[in-house]
Amino acid sequence: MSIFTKRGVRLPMMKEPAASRPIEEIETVGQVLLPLAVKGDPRRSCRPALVTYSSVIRGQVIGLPEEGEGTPVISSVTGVLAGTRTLTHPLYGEMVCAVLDCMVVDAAEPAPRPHMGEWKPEEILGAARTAGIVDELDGIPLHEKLRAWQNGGCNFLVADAAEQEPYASSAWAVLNESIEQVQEGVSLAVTAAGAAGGHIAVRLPAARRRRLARRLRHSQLFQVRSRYPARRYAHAAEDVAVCRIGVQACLALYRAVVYGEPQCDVVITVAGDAVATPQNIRVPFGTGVHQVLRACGLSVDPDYVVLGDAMTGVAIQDLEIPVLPGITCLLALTGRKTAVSRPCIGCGRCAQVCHAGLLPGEIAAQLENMHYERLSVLLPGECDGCGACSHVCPAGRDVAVRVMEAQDNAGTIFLNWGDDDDA
Amino acid sequence: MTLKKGNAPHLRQNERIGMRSLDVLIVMIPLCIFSSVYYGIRPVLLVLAGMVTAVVCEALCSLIGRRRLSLSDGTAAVTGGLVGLLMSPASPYWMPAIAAAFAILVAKMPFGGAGRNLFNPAAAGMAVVTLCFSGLLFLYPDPGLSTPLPLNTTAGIITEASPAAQLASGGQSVYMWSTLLPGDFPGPIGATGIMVLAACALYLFSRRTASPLITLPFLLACAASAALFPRVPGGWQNSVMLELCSGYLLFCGVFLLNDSVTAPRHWLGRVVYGVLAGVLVMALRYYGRFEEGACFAVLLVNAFSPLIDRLCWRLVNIRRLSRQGQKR
Repeated sequence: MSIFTKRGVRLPMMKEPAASRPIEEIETVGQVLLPLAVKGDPRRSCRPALVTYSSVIRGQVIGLPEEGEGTPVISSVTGVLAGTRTLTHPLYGEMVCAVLDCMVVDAAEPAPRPHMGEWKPEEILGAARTAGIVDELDGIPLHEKLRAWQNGGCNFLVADAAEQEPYASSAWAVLNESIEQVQEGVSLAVTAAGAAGGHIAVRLPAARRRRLARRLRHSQLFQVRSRYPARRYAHAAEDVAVCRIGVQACLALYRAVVYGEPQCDVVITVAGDAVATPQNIRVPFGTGVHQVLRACGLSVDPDYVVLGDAMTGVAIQDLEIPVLPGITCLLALTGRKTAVSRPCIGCGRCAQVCHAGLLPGEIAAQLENMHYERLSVLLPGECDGCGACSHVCPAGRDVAVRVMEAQDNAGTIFLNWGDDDDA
Repeated sequence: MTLKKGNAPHLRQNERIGMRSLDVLIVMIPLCIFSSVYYGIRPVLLVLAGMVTAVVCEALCSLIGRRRLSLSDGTAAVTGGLVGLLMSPASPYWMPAIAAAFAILVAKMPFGGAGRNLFNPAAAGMAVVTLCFSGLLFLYPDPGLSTPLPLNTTAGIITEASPAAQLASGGQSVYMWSTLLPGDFPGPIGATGIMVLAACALYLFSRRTASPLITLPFLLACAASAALFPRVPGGWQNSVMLELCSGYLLFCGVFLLNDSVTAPRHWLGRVVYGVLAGVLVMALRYYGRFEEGACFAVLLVNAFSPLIDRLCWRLVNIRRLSRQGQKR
């Protein structure tokens, strides 16, 4: 039925010049903040493994999970544990962080671990867990995702390097640097998840895609269509129970399995009109946003600093916030088009672009009229917050935000003053 | 450095409500030019009379209601212009003014202004003048005279029976393809230029200001009714041609039904809305008192629009809804 509507939006691409530059390493990091416990998330509650003022080396475990299944917290830098601090992260909420003062040391290139034969799923999962690998797409530990898929539920595994949002290009940069290792990582993840196969989904100009494909043994690149958000990450024949993981997680999985190396850093795109040199930069987990911005330079004072990309990112006010897994883009913008929010004129553009086939405008209207009991039949729970509806809204309304609010409110019975047969 | 708060997405498309209105205002220009070729400058003045009245009324309402002046979205000018385009070229200047004033003062602003009106203001304005001044409204001048209409008086204008009137009276029609397509027949200012209207529709479709999912089912439904129940002799082709080109049926399909405030949002809802409107327009022609009752059909179908939207959405998503029901 989708032939009647072309869903999704065409976004302007503003990846240059960051996309064509090589990945930079961040030079000096003063302090890093690594979350030990996140309030309300039992998966992420850890107890400190070290006492204050003990020295830590990169890759050392500094927090042990309270339960058996959790992911250990791994130090991303070499330095001294200076204490703990509580802060509120816009994505993860209130959390207790370990503060590490960094020292500059040259890291030695690790040697491959001796191993014979094929890797078994359990070995791969164990390596992912001890390396503390977190998927950068959603911030969920990789071993949990893989284990969930092990019991069926994943037929085809896709490493998502589509980079559909306007600014981010970190996955492209990672592919450029080490697509061979990413490919190995994908095959390891396929083994661990028990999937039938896997490939890397990209959205690149044909010339760049060919250049990348030449470096692979057999072509494993899939071109994603250009509308945001992408709905298909695999060919129609394989398009059943497709599961996605991040490219950087694949790379980290390969490094963890073969070299026993923990995941300590993440490549993020720093871009926006306030940034002097937009680029992809490799930063240790826990680096403060202000340090990343300083490393890339600011040409003017930004009005908005956005954690994440332009479509789904969160505008932050506190620049002390650490860069944590789940973030691949950081924007500093001097301004943005803010429309005067007018009443909905019912143009239906939001319904047209919604890839989940919802009626975002209708959900927002019911929410604003406080018809909470009517929300559940409009299925706001199927929204994944891509933000396409707000993007296109000619009245400049925050439709996506309303739909996300509706997810929280769906099913609540609010005082209903009229007689309503619609509940 | 103080950082601002803002909701995602931080990148918005450039489309604005004002641009949608501007699109409609732009396509009014060729329609006005087309009409002034036949009738001189008078039709343009009529359209302007409607537009100015609507804008003044909207400003007045904003002042009285102590609301922010909402002229910049252009919806008032569009309403006034549409009303003006539906007048006869020979109608007095107060007629589009009355229709526009009613549209804004009664059908739009009391409901809360643009975006909150239940009924299409232009259709409501037309409904009022149709009811009150039907004798004047349907007096269409003969386009074949090739002399401009007098500007200051309506006396002495030679009028002719329009195709719609001929259809309503059940008489033999004299109009053929060769006269209908170039618009060489009596009718409302904006509704006789069939080719111009088609071009306008294509422009609006391409700009996504109008939806072909409303217009095409509407026209198909009208054509089907005309073919099944012809009112004129000469086979179904003749009937379809005359019914589609007469009155302001085509204009209604392109402009009035595509008013986004009162149309459904869902694609299936739009199709059903178009079909229902088509059936109603034809039913009002067959059984109605007036030669053209499309504005009443628009008002009727507007009332059903939210219901159509909701039901169609549920119909399309019936599987998802039942899955959700099981989960609970």
